[in-house]
Amino acid sequence: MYTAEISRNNPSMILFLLDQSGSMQEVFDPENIQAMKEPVTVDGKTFTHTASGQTKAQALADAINKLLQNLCIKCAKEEGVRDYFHVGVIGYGTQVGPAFAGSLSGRDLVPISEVGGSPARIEPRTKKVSDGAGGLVDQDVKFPIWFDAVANGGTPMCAALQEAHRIVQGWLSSHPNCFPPVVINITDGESTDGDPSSAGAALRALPSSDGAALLFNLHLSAQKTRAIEFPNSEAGLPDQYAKLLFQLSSPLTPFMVTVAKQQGFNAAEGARGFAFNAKLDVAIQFLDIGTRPSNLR
Amino acid sequence: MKVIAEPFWIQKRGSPPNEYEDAACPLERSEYEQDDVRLAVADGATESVFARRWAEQLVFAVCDRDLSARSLAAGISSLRTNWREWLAGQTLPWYAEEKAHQGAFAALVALELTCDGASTTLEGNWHAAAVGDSCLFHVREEEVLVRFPIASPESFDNRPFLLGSLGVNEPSLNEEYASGTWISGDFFYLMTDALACWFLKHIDAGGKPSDIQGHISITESFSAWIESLRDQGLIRNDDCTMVRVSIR
Repeated sequence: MYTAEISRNNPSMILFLLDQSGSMQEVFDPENIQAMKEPVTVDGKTFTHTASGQTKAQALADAINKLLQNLCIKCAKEEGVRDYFHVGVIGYGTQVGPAFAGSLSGRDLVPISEVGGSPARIEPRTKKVSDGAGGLVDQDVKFPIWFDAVANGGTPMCAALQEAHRIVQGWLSSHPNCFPPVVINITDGESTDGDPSSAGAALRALPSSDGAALLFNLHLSAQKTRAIEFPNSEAGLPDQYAKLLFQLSSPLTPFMVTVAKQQGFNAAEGARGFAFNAKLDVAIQFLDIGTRPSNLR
Repeated sequence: MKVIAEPFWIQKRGSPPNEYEDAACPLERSEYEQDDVRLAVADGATESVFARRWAEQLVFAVCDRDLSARSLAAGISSLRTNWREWLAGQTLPWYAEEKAHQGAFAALVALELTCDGASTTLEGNWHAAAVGDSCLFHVREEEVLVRFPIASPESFDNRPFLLGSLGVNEPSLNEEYASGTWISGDFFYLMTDALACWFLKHIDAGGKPSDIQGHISITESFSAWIESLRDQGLIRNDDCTMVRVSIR
């Protein structure tokens, strides 16, 4: 199980679920805190102060842009991006539905080559890289942006998981032998349309001939606790939302555990596809499309 | 010494031939009557751009004596400098540019055969270097004398340490070396990983090295043979390359 070749003849799919609810306006490390004249209630939470700093919505935008960038780069060759995957992005907040903008607007699943060719914009940035002779040099890089921060409405996570179920089921009907679909839910964890456990379980039960669909969760929280990656137990998780998302998450496959360990993560037996206030970029490297040098960073 | 080198290759099933990313030197059946012969096979990594170009540069550098099977480090710097200069002149879309900045990667196995031209006995020395999971096997009659650098089929995976075109984040090349002596009638096989893995399984299961011979009289029969192994699930679907080297 979980050994099907991922190729252009037998592509797999990745679906991202983005929590775009009002509670994502919360600031991680607030500065310049000032009391409001009157409290404001958004998405069931009462806000009494304003502050500056990165919001959870901005962290989510960074996370999805980085994940899509890594996925495009993973599939890139000199002649273009190869369609090893079809990719969907579902936003849930005021509405539940496809979240791509521009030419990809309204589409459930898009070949990764089209994603690579259609960022909303490309920002010029610089980063420090090795010069190959022991020094560092500034390198101009192009940073693609597909999503900006959005935070409105409630957190209909059950509806989002049901929409994911519909999309994954449709994909599996036409790709029954694919490497199992991967769904990555990025959220602050506070579902407002009920307990998502049964919707998550139904999603995780959808099978290809190579195994059941995989549901991973990235929990963005304003709690100031250490990052947690791929735990194998809910003991030590900081709140009930983290514990619920852990329970929703699929165990990593044996290959994924091996890759996580190679990348320096402490992924023990039974590790789940769950991260708390951490990057989940490594999840892209969990997907095997061919030889990847161990010394490629 | 007379050396006959015969390359065989087939691309990954489902990919067109122009996406083949292995490389071999020589490119065609070649006969050498000289005291110093250099041969190589390389395997460009799927997850890097310009992998075939880098694999070709490595094997050509070995055969052109710019890269030695006795010390890869001595020649790799100039190859990397040339690569950086070439890359700087390329205009690429954002995804290929970002990936090109990570470098191209390839496995390499290089073989150097020498003899003392003044000697009348048909024997000599060999030196080999390897980075990654492309392999060399030294065969005498029906015995595999040397398995290099990988000895067991269980040791292959999809995450080998490979030779990068930029050398970023690499304190060493992680290269390995081997050497020995050959006598007339010996064979050397240079193979990329999927075929090398099959070969080791075949030998460990009691098969003979000579079982290959009937399958590789011509390139077309090599291709048909690999396809049949794929049909039976006996070999991983990957580009496959082999150079058979016989010494007389």
